[in-house]
Amino acid sequence: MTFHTTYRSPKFFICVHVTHNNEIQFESAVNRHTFYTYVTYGKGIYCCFDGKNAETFEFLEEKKLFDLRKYTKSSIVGTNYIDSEIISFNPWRIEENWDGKLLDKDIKIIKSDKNYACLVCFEGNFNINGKDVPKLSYVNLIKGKEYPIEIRDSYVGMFELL
Amino acid sequence: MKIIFKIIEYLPETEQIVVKFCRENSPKPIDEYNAGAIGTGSIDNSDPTSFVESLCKLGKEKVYKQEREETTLKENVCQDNISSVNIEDYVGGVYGIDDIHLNDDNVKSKRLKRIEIE
Repeated sequence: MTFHTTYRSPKFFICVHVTHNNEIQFESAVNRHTFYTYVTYGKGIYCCFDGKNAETFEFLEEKKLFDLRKYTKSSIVGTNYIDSEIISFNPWRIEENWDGKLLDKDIKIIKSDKNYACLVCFEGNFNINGKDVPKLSYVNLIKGKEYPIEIRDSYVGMFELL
Repeated sequence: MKIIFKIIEYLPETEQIVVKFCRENSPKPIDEYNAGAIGTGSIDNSDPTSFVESLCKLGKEKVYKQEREETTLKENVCQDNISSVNIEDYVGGVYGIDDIHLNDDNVKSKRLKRIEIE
């Protein structure tokens, strides 16, 4: 079985896919919004179709954020080698440019110079500006403002609208 | 949405049709859209309704793509801040959300929890 849960926010949505091994998934390019994918656990492969061209993308590392922006116009067929949890970051508007990264564990101060930036907690629980932020929640950052942050044991994605 | 088509040419030698698709309420005439060739073997011609349905099914993704690529009028650009359940906060503004998850009962959709840090 594969379970999909979508979490909406005004500028983006997060999709959580919990998949048993060897499940086949398909996502048409029409519905595809994924820019980045975080792998909580698991391994698998996507076959990305763009017209006549097909390219494979294998994810073998856990706790990593993968950049899938080049496949936003591709239809995807995917399968998992083992049980997996995958969390994707999806802007509502695929014509927008976003930059994403996983924050380093030792970072103490966070700041963005972009008009819109947010932090999404993929795993664990981090603290920013004195507030705890649990898994599958997010904070917006004010442009140019510095915030004290403790990543602790969490995995946090930072996404900026360029 | 109503999907419409216009067959520009029938090529019996190659068993193909050249056809254009768009939605009925699209912002420009169907003649201004690009045409594509479709093999007649992909069309169900067992009865008129099946003929039209099967042809529109083949054009459905193309029409969705057209809609996605249309320019948004600046008057229709949604305001970013959807953080209130107070109706008065919405009066006079344009707000919206993508319908991608509204019609799919197989996908559970929730609001992502936002933590205020300011």
